Amino acid sequence: MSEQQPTRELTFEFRGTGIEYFKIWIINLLLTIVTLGIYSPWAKVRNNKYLYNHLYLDDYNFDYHAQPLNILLGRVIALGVFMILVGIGQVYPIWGGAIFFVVILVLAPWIVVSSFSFRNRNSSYKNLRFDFTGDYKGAFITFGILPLAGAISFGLLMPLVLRQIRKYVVDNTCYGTSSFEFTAAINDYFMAFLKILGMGFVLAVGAGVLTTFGAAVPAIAFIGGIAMMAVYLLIYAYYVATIENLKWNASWLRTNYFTSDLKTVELATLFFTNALLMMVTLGLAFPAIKVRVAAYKASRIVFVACEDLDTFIANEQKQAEAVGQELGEVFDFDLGF
Amino acid sequence: MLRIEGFFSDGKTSKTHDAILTYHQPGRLTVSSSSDNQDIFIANESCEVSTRLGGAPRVITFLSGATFTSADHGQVDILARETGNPLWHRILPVLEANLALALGGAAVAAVLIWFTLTQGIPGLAKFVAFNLPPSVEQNLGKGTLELLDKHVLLPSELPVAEQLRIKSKMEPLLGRDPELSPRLIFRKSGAGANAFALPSQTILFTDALVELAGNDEQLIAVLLHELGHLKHRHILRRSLQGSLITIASILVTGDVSGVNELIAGIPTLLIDASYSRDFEREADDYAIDLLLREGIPVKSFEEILQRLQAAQGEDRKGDDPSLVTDFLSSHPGTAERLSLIRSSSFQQQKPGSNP
Repeated sequence: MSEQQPTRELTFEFRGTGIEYFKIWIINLLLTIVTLGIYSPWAKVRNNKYLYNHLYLDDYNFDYHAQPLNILLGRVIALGVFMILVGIGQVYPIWGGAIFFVVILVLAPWIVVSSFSFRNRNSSYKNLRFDFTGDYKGAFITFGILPLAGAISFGLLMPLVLRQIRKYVVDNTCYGTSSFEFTAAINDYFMAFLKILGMGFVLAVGAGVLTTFGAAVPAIAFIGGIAMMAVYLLIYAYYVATIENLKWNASWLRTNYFTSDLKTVELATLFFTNALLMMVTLGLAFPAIKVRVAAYKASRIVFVACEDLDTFIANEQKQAEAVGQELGEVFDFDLGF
Repeated sequence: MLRIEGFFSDGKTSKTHDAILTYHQPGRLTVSSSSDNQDIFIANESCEVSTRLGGAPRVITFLSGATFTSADHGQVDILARETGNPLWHRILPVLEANLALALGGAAVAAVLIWFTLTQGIPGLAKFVAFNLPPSVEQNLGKGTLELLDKHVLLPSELPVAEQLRIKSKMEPLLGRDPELSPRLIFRKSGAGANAFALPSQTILFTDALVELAGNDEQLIAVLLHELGHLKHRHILRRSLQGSLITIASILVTGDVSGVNELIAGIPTLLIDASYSRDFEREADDYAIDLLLREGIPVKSFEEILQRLQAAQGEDRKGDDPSLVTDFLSSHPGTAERLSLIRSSSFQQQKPGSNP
């Protein structure tokens, strides 16, 4: 088909509700506790599947296919490795720590690659799987060497590091046989960080002035304290909004692209109300919060289709082992996708 | 004959077709296009019907990887039963959709978690600790003293004669329990008066503690408290409890990285504080019991605690490394410990109650 398709803006939509997800989450949590944790992989798949199944793009939803037994096996191996390493560290506190560090360093890139592979290969849209094609070397440079350089440069290179990480992840993500592409320039990231620093400076000075001059008057001092917290929240929300928007706006799939328009104040409100909900419900609002975040993000991100979307082709089905990603969870890696 | 409306995708491209699935008999299904009624897929095999999950459309997956998707839950449920889905796939969604059950479940989960934290984990750790040979705990902290000597502690500046005198005074108490083979050492520490029990069966007095003590009986009380930690294998138990909590939380949440560090970290801290409070009580009980048996006034325990409190204040933060139990742990509060000791001390003064 060579006919020119009109450009279409396809919206994401999250159709799950907090209460519905809460019910599913709590029952699966209960089953996990009653089975002394053995059910937890099934619970995990169930929860993930709920979130994927209720995310729609252009009226079609996503799906999640991980096999619980696979996760259970991965988890057992991961816990075994973790316990051996901790055991060594306890018995030989001095060089056990060094062994632990070296093993993690060697394993980390593999954990990164297999975590993304496991997630992508178990995700589908319109019955077509995603894939991940990153390799150990790339992960080692992106997640090992570069952050080290970032740290040595006292954070000056951090924008570059963040950009490289995102580029590695996006460029290696495929839908069927088609690879995504990340087009943000290094400059875009440095400019974004300058903007964040500038905004942070302005807000902090504002709050500082209020606090300093108001210190004598209790009422204003009180307001000043709140203002400081609000400023902290706003700067954080501004950071998240800027980086997320930059990430999505530079992501392409063939000739199609994303637009993202997360708003600082809306995000700050979302974070604040989420934290409040978590505190009031002693953590029971966790599923509701996941739904709120998913719904907000979905409402702000658009997929702009410039061609016929029926022509993506499936890749050969690849196996994905769960060991790597479970190790990642045991060691509390946050890949922050 | 069962007819379900939905869409079909062959799993080879991203193209979808609006279609109708017809179930003729076990092992025979056809999918025909909605627009021209032509068959686009024929399956002479079984298929897998997805379990109901909230309001999500249901997916029927064929062996070739092709799928048929439909939101007509009633019809799909019938198909699921016809194609022999396990009973569990029908029960789970019913459980998941029931609000009363969810709230009841939340309450039960809270009770179970509470029970696991307050009874299960300490109980399991205790069981394991007492069923491992004592050498495990000693190995656990083989390098702890060396590490402390290298970074935190200085050699004692107490006169050697004074050290020997205290040691000889303590000797009978140290050898009293056949299960333990403790030794007593002295070190100078910037952190002031304190005493530690190390996993290598070593009890450590700081110089400041020796100087602070009004008499030897007060030092004996401290020594017995630390012996209590060794006797009850608190160091090993604490380390086991920490690992068990980590493992349990990974199994229960299944998604550690998804939970905010801050939210996940606070309960762990509180739990650890409460565990160490229990350990201090156990060690206090052990010390009081032995003081009573040895006929040493329990009041000396009270006195040394008061002196420590005066010297350091209650606001000291207990950032002790987990391999060391710290004498003046900020938990339980000194006042609470004192009142417990006082009641024992009172009993000791009553004639006949001293065994």
